[in-house]
Amino acid sequence: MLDVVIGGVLLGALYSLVAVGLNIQYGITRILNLAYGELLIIGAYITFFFSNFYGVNPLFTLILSGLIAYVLGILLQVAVFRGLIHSSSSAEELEFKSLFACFGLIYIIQNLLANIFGTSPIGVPYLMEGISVLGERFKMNMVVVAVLSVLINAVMYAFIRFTKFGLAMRATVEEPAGAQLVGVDVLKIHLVSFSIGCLTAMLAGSMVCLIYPNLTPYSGTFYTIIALITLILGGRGNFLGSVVGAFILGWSHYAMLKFKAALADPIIYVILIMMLIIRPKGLFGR
Amino acid sequence: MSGARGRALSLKGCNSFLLAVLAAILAFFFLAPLFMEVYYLSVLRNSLLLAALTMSWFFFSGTTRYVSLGSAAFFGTGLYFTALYLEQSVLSKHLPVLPLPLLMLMAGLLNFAIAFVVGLISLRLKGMHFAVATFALGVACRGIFDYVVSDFMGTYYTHIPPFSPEVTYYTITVTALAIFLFVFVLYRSKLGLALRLIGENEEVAAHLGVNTSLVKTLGFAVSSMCIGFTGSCYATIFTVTSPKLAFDYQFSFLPPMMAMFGGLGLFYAPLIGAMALSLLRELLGVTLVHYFLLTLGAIIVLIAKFVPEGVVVFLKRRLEVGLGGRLGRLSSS
Amino acid sequence: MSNPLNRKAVAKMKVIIIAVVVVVVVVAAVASLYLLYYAPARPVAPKDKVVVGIAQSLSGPLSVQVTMWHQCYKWIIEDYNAEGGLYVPEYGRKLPITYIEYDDESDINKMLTLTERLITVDKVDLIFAPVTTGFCYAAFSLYEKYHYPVIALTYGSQAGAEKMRKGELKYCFQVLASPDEVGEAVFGLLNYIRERYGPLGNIGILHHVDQHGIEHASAIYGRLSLAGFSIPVYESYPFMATEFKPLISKLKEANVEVVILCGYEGPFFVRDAMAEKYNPKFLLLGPSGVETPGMAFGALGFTLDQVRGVMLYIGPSASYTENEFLKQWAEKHKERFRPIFRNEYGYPFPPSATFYAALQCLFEAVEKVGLDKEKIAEALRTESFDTILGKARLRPGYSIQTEIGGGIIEQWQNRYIMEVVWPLNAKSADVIYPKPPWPGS
Repeated sequence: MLDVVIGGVLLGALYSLVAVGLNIQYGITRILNLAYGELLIIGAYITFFFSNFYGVNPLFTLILSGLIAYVLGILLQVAVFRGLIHSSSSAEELEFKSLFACFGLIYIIQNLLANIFGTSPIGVPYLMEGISVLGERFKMNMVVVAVLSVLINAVMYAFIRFTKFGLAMRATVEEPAGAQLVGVDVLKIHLVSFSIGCLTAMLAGSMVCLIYPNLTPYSGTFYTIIALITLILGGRGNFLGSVVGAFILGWSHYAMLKFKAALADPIIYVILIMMLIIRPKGLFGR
Repeated sequence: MSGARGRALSLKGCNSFLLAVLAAILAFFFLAPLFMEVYYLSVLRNSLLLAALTMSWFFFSGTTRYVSLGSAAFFGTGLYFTALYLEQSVLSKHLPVLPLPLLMLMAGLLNFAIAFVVGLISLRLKGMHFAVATFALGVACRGIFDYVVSDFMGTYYTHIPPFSPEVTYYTITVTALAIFLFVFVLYRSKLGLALRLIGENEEVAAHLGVNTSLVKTLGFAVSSMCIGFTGSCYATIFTVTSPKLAFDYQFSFLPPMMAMFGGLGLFYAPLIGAMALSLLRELLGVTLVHYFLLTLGAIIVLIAKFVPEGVVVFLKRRLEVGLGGRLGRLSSS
Repeated sequence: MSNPLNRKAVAKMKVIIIAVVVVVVVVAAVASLYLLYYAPARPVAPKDKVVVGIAQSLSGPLSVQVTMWHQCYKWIIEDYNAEGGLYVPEYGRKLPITYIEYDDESDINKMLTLTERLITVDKVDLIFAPVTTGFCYAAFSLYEKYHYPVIALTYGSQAGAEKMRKGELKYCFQVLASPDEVGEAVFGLLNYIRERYGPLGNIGILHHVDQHGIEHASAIYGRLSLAGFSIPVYESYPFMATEFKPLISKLKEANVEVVILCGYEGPFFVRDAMAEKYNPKFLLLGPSGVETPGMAFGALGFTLDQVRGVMLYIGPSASYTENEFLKQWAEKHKERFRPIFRNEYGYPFPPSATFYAALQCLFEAVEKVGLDKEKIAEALRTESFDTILGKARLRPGYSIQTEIGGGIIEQWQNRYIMEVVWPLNAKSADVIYPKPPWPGS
């Protein structure tokens, strides 16, 4: 049983990093970024590219990944989403339109990656030895990734909770009109938030590449689903909620692998459906 | 019902010219096997199927703006039900053989029931929650069918008896046209009106006395029933299916994409958009083999940015502005 | 608000606009269908080349499998063209081979439509099959209808094999071992080991939720239970799962010494087993296990020395140590394989030689009897051909029979090369049992 508990914690930590980016993006900018998983996979390919062809230490590539992510986020906002925000008269309409644009983005990203890197599965072998955690053996890279995820999440949380900019971000979530009235530069908030979302996504992708060596340009959908379900479990714009939701998902997936492995994937959806029946606004939603 | 039908069918300002054009199109579709080769018939029937899927999706999601990304669940259920029954009845002879239209009807009703239950649960949610919930439903169906097939059936694939291409083509054409007509009639009916009211402003609709929960659930169920019919049709095309093939993500993504491509502001825009995009996909797929999806993605992003109301709606408004300038602005249909 | 004077005109205008749009759409539809007919322009010319049609998944999730399994399609065309082309008896000379390739985007309906296009519009001479059992089976009905002889390299289901054996499928051929053949082979090897080394411990069978996994596991389980082996663990896991620690702890708890994993996830199981220090005495992976040096090395970072003793069933395959010619063939194709898997060893994986030989059968048949499809199908059904694996025969409903190779179970024994260990009459080396412990355990 202990192995399930620890394994679930490790997996939950990774999932929480995967999810936080989408929560920030959707919570603040109200853009439903269905291409989120694809952005994550770009991060994986960046790590693969630099560590495979240039021998860069995979953990170092995280920095590269983050930089590229931030720039990419700004590019996407400026080129695609800003026009959508301007032409939408309500949040619901923006969600709707961003959906359509994201379909196109998904095609573009998947096929660009496939054309550049080919479609063979990629991965970066790193720290594959097993180490002992409380008596149970786990691969070292899994532990490292989990620890890093928690660290990055903590930094994010501190940023949102304790800085002025973070305060502005929270204000935009709760009261967009009011925030603008008090002088918050909403456009700048949107730009930075979206880019931060891309940043965490690609960092998560870089780390996923280390532990799941079977990634292809088409693996993104799975992570989009994880992020979306965690978003619902936790409640829109709620940081702690998505962390808790991610741990619930990680635990149940891992536990199911032990008891009835074939149901490990469907269990995620059962949890979602249960949450929608019991408490549609999410664990901490308003 | 016939009274409502009569009212719904008497289009304002309809005249014989329009009917003649419609008749010509119908004639084209029904006579196609006589002068077209198998490959072009296949292209045509695939386009009709996608258009039928799109219009079924549009009936609920286009009107109420509750985006459903779960079409794959109902499509796959319809396909799987029909495929399983055909396999068990025709190939294994465990069950009595039933005529295909009856099977399709059963598949449709099954999906109606499932969607009704799902709707009762998930239609309390707004916007994005509903989209995610339905998307998860689609993926969940696949996971559950995977498990059931793997642990209880011993083989991953369900085999379907082959149908002749003429039967396939006519089944599909008739089903697609029936769905278009069905959706058209319902769109003009009270149900359709209520759905559109909900789409404009749900609170106002409730104040006007619309039972929003019931209407939404009914609309979703009807839409899913039609999607189930379409899925059932696919059983005539394939000789084999599996959970992965039947519940493929594209059946969840393509209907909204095609509907938004055409535009959601007019009834016939998604239909035309779906047919056009489908034919475009075939054309590009054959000429631009390696870069086709990239091009398609780029086109979609450009349309989302510059023509967000949809290509067909945009063209219609341009025509209006061009031709109707002297008569003043036309009222929107 | 409409001007009462113009209400009739407004209504008329609406109708005209709708009618115009509808007419435009109909015209556009007809025009694009017309354009489809002429795009790309492929004029019907006097025969100066042999055209092969390929409708496969160049994008989408299945493109991964196309990259792995269908490399030989282009290799064999290049090799024949390097020698001047394919000899066609009707013309008394060699004609160069060209191909028309379409991308079905991993969509089965599109694959069927594109295959119809290849057959009825492009009118190709030969067809190469798509990838995965499901796609192949769906395409079989088209091949049978239009009488195109096609060798489905990746088809491996019992249902189609039964049909081929009964003669219901006359134009479709398989290459891989059917599930019942695999079950027999696994039983044979375990029995052989039991007789030589004494009774075997508990057996665990894991399989993924997809065609190969389900059918192979069920066939192996059936055959082994019949022979009285003890199989306490029989589990399925998600397709392309990478987390095997929970299942490994289950195997440990049940004292499983013989592990059979039916699926493509073998390398991930090996990696997790190493981390867990779980050392089964017998580890059989398939139909896709640690077969490519590139996959093992590049994606997972363990060296081939570490996996000595791990077995793979994929059948039928050849070991590249069998003879000098095969060794040279592998060396030559290393260069082609290297960029695909980005590794410095780049040996084609074991079935590559068999797939190449199967396609050679098709080309040899044409060189013997010409481009008449009925004659080609008849020849493929009944005759044997000269290939890189010696004399090869396609047996309808069974795996291809070759003079060299024909092994169904192979084992990593040396660097870079897998040895055939079963069946005994095809073996290139003796089986190593028990599997050496993972280095560092």
